[in-house]
Amino acid sequence: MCSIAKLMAAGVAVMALAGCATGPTQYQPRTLSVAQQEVVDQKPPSLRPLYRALFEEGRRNEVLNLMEIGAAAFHLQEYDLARAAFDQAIVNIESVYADNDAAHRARSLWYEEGEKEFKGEPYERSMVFYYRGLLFLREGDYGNARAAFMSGLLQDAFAEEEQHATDFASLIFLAGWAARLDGNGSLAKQHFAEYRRLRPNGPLPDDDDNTLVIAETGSAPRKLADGVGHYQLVYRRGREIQTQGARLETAAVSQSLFPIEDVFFQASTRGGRTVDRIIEGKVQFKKSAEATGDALTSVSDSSVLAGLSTSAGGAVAAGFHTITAIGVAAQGLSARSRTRADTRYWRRLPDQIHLTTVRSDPVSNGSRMVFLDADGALMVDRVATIAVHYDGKGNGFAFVRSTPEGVSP
Amino acid sequence: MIRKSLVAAAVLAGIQGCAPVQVDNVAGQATVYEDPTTSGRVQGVGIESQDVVAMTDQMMRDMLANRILAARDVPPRIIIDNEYMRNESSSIINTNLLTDRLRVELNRAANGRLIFVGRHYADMVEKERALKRDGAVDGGTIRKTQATAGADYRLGGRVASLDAMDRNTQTRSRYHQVTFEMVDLELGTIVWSGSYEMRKAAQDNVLYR
Repeated sequence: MCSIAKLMAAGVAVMALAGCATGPTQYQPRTLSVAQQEVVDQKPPSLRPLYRALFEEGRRNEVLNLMEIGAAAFHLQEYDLARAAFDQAIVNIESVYADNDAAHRARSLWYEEGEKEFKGEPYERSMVFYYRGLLFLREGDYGNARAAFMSGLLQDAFAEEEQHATDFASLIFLAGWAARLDGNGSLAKQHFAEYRRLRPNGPLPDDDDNTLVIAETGSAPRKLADGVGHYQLVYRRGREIQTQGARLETAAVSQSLFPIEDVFFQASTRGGRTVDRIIEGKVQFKKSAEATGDALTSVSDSSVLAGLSTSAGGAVAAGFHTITAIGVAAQGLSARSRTRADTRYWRRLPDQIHLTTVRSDPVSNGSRMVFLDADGALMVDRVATIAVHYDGKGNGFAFVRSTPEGVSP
Repeated sequence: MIRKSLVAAAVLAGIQGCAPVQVDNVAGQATVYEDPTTSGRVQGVGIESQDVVAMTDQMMRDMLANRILAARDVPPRIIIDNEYMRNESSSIINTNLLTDRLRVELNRAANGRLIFVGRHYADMVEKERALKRDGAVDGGTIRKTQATAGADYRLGGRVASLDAMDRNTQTRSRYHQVTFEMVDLELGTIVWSGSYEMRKAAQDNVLYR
């Protein structure tokens, strides 16, 4: 009878504990204050859900939501909102999180990595600086544009695979372009030389080019949790990507844009993270605790020993109950340890970045961008009119995305 | 005995707690004033308020001690703005923070030994002069001049940086060198130079490495 009781008790406890540990942790959204609701209501309708999420999800997802707001606002040409969102994201990214409660919890066995305040992986942080740099370029602040691109490049330096550290060619090119517009020929030359080491076939700007044209295609690299216990972070290319190329067409010229960056490549060549070793440690603990629990419960459930304990009476029986309890506890600890990797990711990033530089003036404004599929064929439903924005110094900037905000890739 | 075991199991399960829903209940932080001359709560490796204050204070003292600039019988006219202040660093910074503080503090401390030309307000001045010359407004109470003030010296400078990363510990460091130079606007010579250097290093929490 005692054996049945033990088995039932162990079953109840293990099932309850294991049940708790399945699936990622769910976070309860916060209720917006009146002031926060007013802020949301003042935003353009298409951005309101993102601002609502920013307030509902709090500090844990603040940087992620600011990234999404910044990119969406940039795509919708709400440049002031994009600037504010990226500036706030950069403050968080640049701040050194020497220690905070959320990070402390995420290191612990009982909380998963997703508990930490999101700062993004290096490729995501680099892309924040990429967009901020483009905004500076658009405003004609070339010094800070270059600084932003260089900061983005430094985020890439966190990559652990040494051969892929600071290989963000688009940022190097853009830093060179910004330096050139700033009248700093020697810096521009250095950057372009470095860019050519990474992209030997990449085109360089002609001397009289004054306009930068950028096209983004495809959808963001995805993060997935793989392995037993979902402890391993893996990257997959975005789904259903159709557009693979872009071509600029004006009255005078038809020019293919150079595919300067593969964002998925940047994400997937990051290499192992230091935090992965913490998660691996948790997995090891989980396995050890599980093995200990299994061994102890099987010892106490052994029919020979159970018979012995029954016949021996009181003290021995109590001893086996203790072993059962420890076994159940060990299984419980195993079930409660949280090994799931953090799979939050910036969904509005492109799959690839294409660019070119041309000579243009406001009079010749009115070009279009056509997008191409994997075979280089024109996609008739993906044609966009280009509006070149000229800064106060006569230099132009144009940005087009193959999929408008809110449309699947 | 059955009851005891079941109760124990239930209690154990209860203690472990089946609550996947987390509530972020971290207390908020009320707004506090912080001394801009000291490191704030939020720190990185870029140029921060204490750096701006320290470097402009140092440059101001150095300029006031320069005899060519601050000991002339006729006070020189100086332009200090960010028109020729270049940011070649990897830190995003509004260089007006440097030049504005330098101009304001110098103007206060110089007490007439230096005259500052507000070239960044030239558009404003020209508009008012045009109104006066057109007779749309009267001539004011000070005086009329043929032209606005030309300057003797103008500030130029550069913010540069050098970044380094220890790949094993993921510690990053940034060295900044900020140079300020006063240029004679007739001769093209540099009559005063000053520079400010700093290096900061930081290592993020292990979760972000």
